[in-house]
Amino acid sequence: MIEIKNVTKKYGKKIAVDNVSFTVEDGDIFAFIGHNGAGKTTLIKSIVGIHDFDEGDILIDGKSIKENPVECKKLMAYVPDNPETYEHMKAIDYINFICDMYETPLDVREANIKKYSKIFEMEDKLNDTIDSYSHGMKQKAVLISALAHDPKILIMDEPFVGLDPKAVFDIKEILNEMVKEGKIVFYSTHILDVAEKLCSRVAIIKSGKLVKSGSMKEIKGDKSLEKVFMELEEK
Amino acid sequence: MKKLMSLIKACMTSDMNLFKVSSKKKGKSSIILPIILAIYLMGYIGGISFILFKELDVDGNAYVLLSVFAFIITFLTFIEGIYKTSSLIFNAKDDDLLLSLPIKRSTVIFIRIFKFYIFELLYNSVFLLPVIIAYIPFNKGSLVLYIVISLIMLLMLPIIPIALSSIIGVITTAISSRFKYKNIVEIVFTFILLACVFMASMSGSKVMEYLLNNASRFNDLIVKYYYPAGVFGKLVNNFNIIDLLIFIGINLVVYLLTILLISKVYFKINTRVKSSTKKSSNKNTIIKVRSPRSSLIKKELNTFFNTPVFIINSGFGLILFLLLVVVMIFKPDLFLLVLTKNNPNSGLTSDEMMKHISLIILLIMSFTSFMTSITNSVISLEGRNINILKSLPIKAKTILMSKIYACMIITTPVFIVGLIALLIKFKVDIIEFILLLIIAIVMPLISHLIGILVNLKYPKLDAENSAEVVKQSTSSLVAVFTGMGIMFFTVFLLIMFMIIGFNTKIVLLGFTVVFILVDLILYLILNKWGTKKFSSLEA
Repeated sequence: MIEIKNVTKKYGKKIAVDNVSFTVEDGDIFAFIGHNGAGKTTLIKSIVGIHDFDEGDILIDGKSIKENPVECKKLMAYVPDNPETYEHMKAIDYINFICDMYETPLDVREANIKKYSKIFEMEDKLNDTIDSYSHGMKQKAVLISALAHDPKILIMDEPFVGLDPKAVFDIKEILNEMVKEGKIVFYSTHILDVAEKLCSRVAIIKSGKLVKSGSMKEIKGDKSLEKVFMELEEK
Repeated sequence: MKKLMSLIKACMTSDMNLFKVSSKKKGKSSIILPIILAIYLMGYIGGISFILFKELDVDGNAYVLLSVFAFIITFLTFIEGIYKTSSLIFNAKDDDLLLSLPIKRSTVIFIRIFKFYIFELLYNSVFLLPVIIAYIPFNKGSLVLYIVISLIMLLMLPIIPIALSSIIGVITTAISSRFKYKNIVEIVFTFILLACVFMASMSGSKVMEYLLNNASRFNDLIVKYYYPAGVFGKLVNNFNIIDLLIFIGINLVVYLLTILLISKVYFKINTRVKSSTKKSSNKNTIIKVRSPRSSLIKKELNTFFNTPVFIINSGFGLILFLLLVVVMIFKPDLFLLVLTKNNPNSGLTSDEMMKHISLIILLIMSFTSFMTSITNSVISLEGRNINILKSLPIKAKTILMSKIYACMIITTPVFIVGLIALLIKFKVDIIEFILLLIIAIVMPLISHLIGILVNLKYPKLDAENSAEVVKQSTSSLVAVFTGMGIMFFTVFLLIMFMIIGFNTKIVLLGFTVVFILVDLILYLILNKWGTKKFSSLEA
């Protein structure tokens, strides 16, 4: 479970995230939506321990990311909005590097690398250096590295950007499979129709403040998620 | 012109601010240390040059030294250029943006070289401005004219060495880009070039001797062999507007020709550099399990060996060490002669120095190890990838120490091998042997710890290319100047102990203890302040 409790993050005088609180339960696919600059990436980076935050706390399975960063991070995998990797590495070396950091046993990583590289059609390309990849291939390499260590919580920032339609479909399948196992998927997105179909819960952030949070059914009612989002934006 | 100015402004503000550091919490304290170091260095250079001017002024030849300094600055700019131009001109992060704009390729080249020029201008000013000021009391002619000439020289001097090194950088890249292993070819080429320049400069002490004996003819010699440097002394001593115009003309023509020449081949070479020639290997995918620490060290080594400018920059100190070891083994007399000539006031002869051979060996090690600062860019080189490290379930201390271990893996074997060769050659006493071996580990460690602490203080996570981080960031300048300061102090102490005739074993033991204590203090700072600073870095 992820518990976000009254989190505030400031950049100088500017408040990027303003007293945000919500909870993500085990088995949730949680969509985090908001316009550009609303504070999505800042909050995501705070959850995964990249950013410190000024007030509040974030608990991962009951443990504070501030107090126990290493233990919390062991439960999570993070996929950034830009596929940031060590470009001079071969993809397989990069994936192995990430697995080493999570101390993933050989049998688990072997099985997962095989499984996900097959799904993303990357089996023949893992021995290439990442700098020879396209944006989409880099994104796939990052996704394989995130999934290879079998995380309990998958946190993604705009994961569908730059991916081909088949890869988008495959990710949706993988995410559904994960939540069936009681895992958590938390991701930010601008693609509202995908979020509407895929996610069980949603939070909407506007100018750093949480304006809506709850189950997808509660939030959208009879309307489309896009319509709800646009109405909130116009307020 | 408006378009060009707009481009220069955009490019300069994004990446050429010398004191730009990536911490969002940057304050005034960030720039205090570089300023203090620059003032210290300028004061030191000004003081030394004043003494030299005074000595040469007895025969009315002080002006010659201006040409000598101009020549040295030119030479240093050329060396810097060989290191950097290839990385600065090709495969920059803003390539796609600039090449997609409706501007000429020559404009792109102009911007790339102009950025390098501005940096060198700042760098040269630290060395040349104090010299120019120190000469004022010895200036015989009009002060206003002298200042105008000096400022023109300051502005023009970097142009030709930058142009020449840019052309060399383009040729090196053009050749290396045809090979599968571009990086290795580029590194080998650069080392060969630098070795040639180093060999040529070995006769430096002879040149200084000639200068002191034949100062007035020396300026004619510089004018003859390198007019743009020699003309400085000539103009100050005997102003002639034609000489000044020729000097300005030569610089401008060389600059424009270089830009035109490079822009003709730039696009083709850059495309080749960007297109990877590495083909998929058909080997089975190897999945190995390593501990987090060894995996992090492997990643660091991978970064090191895949960043040519990083290897060239830090590797040169190690190669210099090995070169000095070879000279000591095969031509010990030559080495000691250079040492005694450069320290004429020490009163030590070559024979007396041989009695303190262990201290001479320590002197070589301190000279090269404090000049070899690998870690001053290891944080900045992470760039936005710092977010990957920060999201991993690994303590900041483990990440930082793995960077130190990787640097130790690179430097320690070189120092140990060179040291053992020297110890065997000079049949050093076993206790001194053991103490020197310990020093070979703990002394470079100081350099590594200082480097990483300085880089944590002055990170640059948004650089356009690795050369900018390795060669022209605040962190690299501060770390190099700090290393130089420690090196000068250590060398001074060693020479003092030799003159006094202190017991070599006690001196070595003293240095070992002090180095270990400094390592411990720096380690504690890294463990406490460094880890906090790492966690607060934002890309």
